[in-house]
Amino acid sequence: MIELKTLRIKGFRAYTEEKEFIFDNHVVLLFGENHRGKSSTLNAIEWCLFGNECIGKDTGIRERIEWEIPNRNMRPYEALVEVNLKDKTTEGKITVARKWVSARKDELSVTLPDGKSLRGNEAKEKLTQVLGLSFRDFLTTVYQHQEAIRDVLVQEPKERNEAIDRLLGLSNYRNIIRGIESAKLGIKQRKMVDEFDNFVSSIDTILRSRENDLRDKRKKAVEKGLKETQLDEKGALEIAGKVKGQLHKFSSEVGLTLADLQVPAQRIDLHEFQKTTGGEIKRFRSEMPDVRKQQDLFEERTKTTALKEQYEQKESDWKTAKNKFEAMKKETSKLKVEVEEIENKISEKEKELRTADAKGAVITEAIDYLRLEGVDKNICPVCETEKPGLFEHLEKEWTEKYEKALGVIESQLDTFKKRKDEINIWFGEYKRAKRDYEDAYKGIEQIKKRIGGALGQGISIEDDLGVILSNELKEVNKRLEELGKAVKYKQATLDQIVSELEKINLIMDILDLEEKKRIVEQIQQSSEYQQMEDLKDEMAILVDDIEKIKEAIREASYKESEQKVTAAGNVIDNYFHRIANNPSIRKIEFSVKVDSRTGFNSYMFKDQGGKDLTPILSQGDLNAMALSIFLGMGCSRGTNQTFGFVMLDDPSQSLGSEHKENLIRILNEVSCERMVILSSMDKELQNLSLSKMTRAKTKYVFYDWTTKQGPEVKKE
Amino acid sequence: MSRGESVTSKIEGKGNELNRRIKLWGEIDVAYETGGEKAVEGVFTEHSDNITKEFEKLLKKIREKL
Repeated sequence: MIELKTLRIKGFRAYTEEKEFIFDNHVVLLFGENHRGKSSTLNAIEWCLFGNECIGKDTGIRERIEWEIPNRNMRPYEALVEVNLKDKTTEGKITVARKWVSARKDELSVTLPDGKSLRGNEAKEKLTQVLGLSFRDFLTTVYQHQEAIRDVLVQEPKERNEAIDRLLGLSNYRNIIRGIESAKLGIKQRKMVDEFDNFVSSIDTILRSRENDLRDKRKKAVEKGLKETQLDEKGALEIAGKVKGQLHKFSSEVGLTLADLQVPAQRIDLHEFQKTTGGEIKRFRSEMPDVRKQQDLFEERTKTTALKEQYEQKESDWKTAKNKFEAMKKETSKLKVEVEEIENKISEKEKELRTADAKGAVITEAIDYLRLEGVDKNICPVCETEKPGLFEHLEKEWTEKYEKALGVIESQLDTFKKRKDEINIWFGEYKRAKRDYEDAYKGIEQIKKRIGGALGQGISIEDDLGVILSNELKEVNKRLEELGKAVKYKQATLDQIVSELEKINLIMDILDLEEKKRIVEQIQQSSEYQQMEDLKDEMAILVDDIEKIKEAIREASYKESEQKVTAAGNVIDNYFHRIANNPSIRKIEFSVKVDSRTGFNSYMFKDQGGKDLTPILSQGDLNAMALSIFLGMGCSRGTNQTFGFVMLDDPSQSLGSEHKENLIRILNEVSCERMVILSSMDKELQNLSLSKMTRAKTKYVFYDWTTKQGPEVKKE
Repeated sequence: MSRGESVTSKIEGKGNELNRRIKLWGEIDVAYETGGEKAVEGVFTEHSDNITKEFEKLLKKIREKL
């Protein structure tokens, strides 16, 4: 049994400065108003022993969600709790210290009686071993937390049964089963079986597929002319020999050399033979002399056709140029005569113009003179004597005779000149037409030379190249047709050889499929298959063994619970009667049975008439019932507790004065077996504990709390 | 009677089968004492993972043969 000796706290929750508590009597009282640090003191013991297990939703305590460990007023954060324990059996002292590092990490150290100090996982394992109690067990059998105790009576049957198992010290059985089930062996086994079954069914599917493929291939082989007796290695090798003979004959006929082709002696070499043979056939197809000739003739035909087209184009150009030139030549002769006539007319008109111009010039100068001298004076510019009406006479002469005549002559001259220009343009075009005609003729000469070179014969001006080239093309086409027939025949011979090769392919495919089918048929005899079956069996045995062990654990748990319920039932009944003193409940029947569905223990609380008690209990009764179970299970001799102390935090919340006095009397009895650490702000309960508890007491009074100092505590 | 003995006495089986189950229970009990629920889970996780990994390996190999 583990006893609590001292507690040192610094920076934990309500605490800032270091405080030490000594647990030197069977009754330790923590008195003070709310928010003075009492609960933090009990929490410190819990955190030191169980670390982060007492934080969070899994604890089942609402206030533990987002629980802060270090005091938020300290900088830097520093939380340290140290607990000194004593093993009553060995008298050995064990020191447990836990230091907060971060929200998810702390440092644990455990110092053993021999002075050896353990840290990390080693310390954690040792502490688990020393405490012999999970955090859940601690919470329900050592540390009375109202919320956790009430779970026993108000939660769903599954949780209630689990909580009572914990109160009875049986949670190890459940924990072990939970640990086993967490490994999910059943799921893994089912997955293995499913995979194995799927594999077995896939064997059938693959086998059917292979058989279908094989049937198809055999059908094709028969369609290709193969006999059933040929569908083996020997048949394939014989065809290979035949192929070689055919290729050899073909190569001799066409004058090509056949590569060194080895007829395979066994199936494994057939693939190489096929590859080489395929390459040779491809080469023969392109290198056969007739194919070469064919290619040459194709080139010749292309070239001749191109020459013919070029010639026809040149000839057409020449004819066009010639026709144009000859037509213009006739017209040009006429135009030359017309030009001469126009030039004569221009000469004449220019002469007329000059004559008219001379007289006209005299008249206009005379008019200008008269205007200068005075029009009205009529002075003759030659004799300088007055000639009446001279100015009017001169103007009339100019207007009626010369001005009009000059205009007519100029207009005629202009017409002649324009026509002359037109004819000159025509002469320019005629020159170009002549040049084009001469160039076209030269083009014809050149193409004739090229064609003569290409045909290898001289071409004279009289030759009709169109006909010559057409004849040449006809000859090429005739030769191509003959060669085409020869090539087609030879390609057909090669096609036949290819067909023989395809027969080899088919036989090889059939042999491969037969091999694959054989593998599938024999897969269940393979060592891998046997090993898989062995592993499947091994897993099945493991799962079966585990089921049997789980049954044994449940049965052992049930037997132990039955014994303890029998032992604790009267104690709970006694405690409840003494605390609650409810006249309507004469007896509480506390019993256990095996839940046929889960296999776990199932607990019942019934009254003297066999009816479920929970629906009729008042808040005070519930509180009394919870305390009765806690004290009955946690403190009765029938239970198997490793802790030598119990901690009760404000247990009198819903209790009346009589209930409180009764509770104190019971705690006084408990204190004979285990140290009772009682925390309370209830003055009545405080006074009762001081006056009614007969064992020596240590009292810590939490009289104040400040941000800087934390709880102000004095020992009395 | 300790928990170990109590469970052992309830385990069913004959001959080798019984011995095997008792031995396995012994391993579970020791694991729990040493490391709680997690350690118990660890015993079977390791064992079953070895079996399933070997099984998967063989399955892959045999599928490739087909």
